[in-house]
Amino acid sequence: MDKIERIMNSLDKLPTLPTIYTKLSRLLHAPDSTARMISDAIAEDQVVAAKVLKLANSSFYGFAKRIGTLQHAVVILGMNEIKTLVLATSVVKTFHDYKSGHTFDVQEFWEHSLACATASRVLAEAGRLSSPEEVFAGGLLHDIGKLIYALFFSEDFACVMEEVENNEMPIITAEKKIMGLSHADVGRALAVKWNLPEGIVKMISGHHVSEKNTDCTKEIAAVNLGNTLCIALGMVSWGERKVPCIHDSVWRSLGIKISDLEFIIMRINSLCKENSSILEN
Amino acid sequence: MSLLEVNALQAGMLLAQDIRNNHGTVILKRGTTIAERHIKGLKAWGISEVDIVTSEITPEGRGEEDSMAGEVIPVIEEKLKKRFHRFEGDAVMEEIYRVVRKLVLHEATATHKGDE
Repeated sequence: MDKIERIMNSLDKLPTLPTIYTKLSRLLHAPDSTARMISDAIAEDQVVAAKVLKLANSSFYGFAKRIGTLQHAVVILGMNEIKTLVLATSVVKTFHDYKSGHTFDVQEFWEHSLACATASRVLAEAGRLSSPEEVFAGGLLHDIGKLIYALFFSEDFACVMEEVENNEMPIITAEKKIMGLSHADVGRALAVKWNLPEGIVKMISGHHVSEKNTDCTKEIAAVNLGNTLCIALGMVSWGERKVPCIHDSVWRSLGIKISDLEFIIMRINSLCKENSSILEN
Repeated sequence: MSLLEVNALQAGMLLAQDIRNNHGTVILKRGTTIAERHIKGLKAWGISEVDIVTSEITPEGRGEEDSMAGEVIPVIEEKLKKRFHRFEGDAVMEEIYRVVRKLVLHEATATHKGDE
């Protein structure tokens, strides 16, 4: 069985998302769902419920008054935001008990992922994208393929780590050479298995934009640039410790101005500092 | 002179430098005494931080602060150069580098002062 087949087969054995996410997705599409029904559904998973409330009260939203109940959170934030928060907390919960065998730092991974989610969202708002909350989810999950590799293919991934660290090979090149698939490909496969929205699947699979891409969607551009800005601010990702260049297609697609960058970067920096441990238990 | 976040501004503080908006137009001149209405306006303009005159720093103190920053700057620039590839001539990357450098220096100088 070749490596690619092995990886794809192993995805079937991976945990599914907590049932709360599927249940919530169904409820959100049902025409007669109420805020009460939605908050009751979330409350069935105490871990997810607690985190959703914590996120709702964070400086991501900056509400003047404290949001005390899930029902209140549903009403104030709206369906799309709630769905994103439940997705984010569900994914973190799914992987919580796994331990990485090698030098891959899982805490650094989630810090970078949350930072990228934040940065992508700030950029989506600056670029006036229609669903900044979906871009937040895309940013959070963009590197999930790396986590899969580190947790379930640690031996082979150790060889990738060697190529990247000792021979300065770009991570995508090393992954394709040694594993057959990049972390973006694996992330995409996982997102499809989990039935995530199409937009999120695309952001995960397309977040490494190359020079050959003459155009890319605004959402992919937001995640790509968000990732770059996080690395620039020192919130690095394993295997990507140098600031990558920003391709023309990304900059043109997002449509922000150079003069917007200062405010955007300052905002990303303060949101990340204020919320760095928000996903921890 | 010190950089202060807009949220920390108070009426009565004195501007150490002109404040310009994104288009380069001066919206408040150096030497202006800040009033409440200015603070609201600055937030609306999306200005994140402002250079104000801090009169409690004595001339000797100011010299010390400069030399502290002087020690810290080369170390930080060395660290940043390792993180950033060569990007001269790329206006977007240059701006990102400029802003990150400003942020890191500001945080490092603030920490340095806090350690005293």
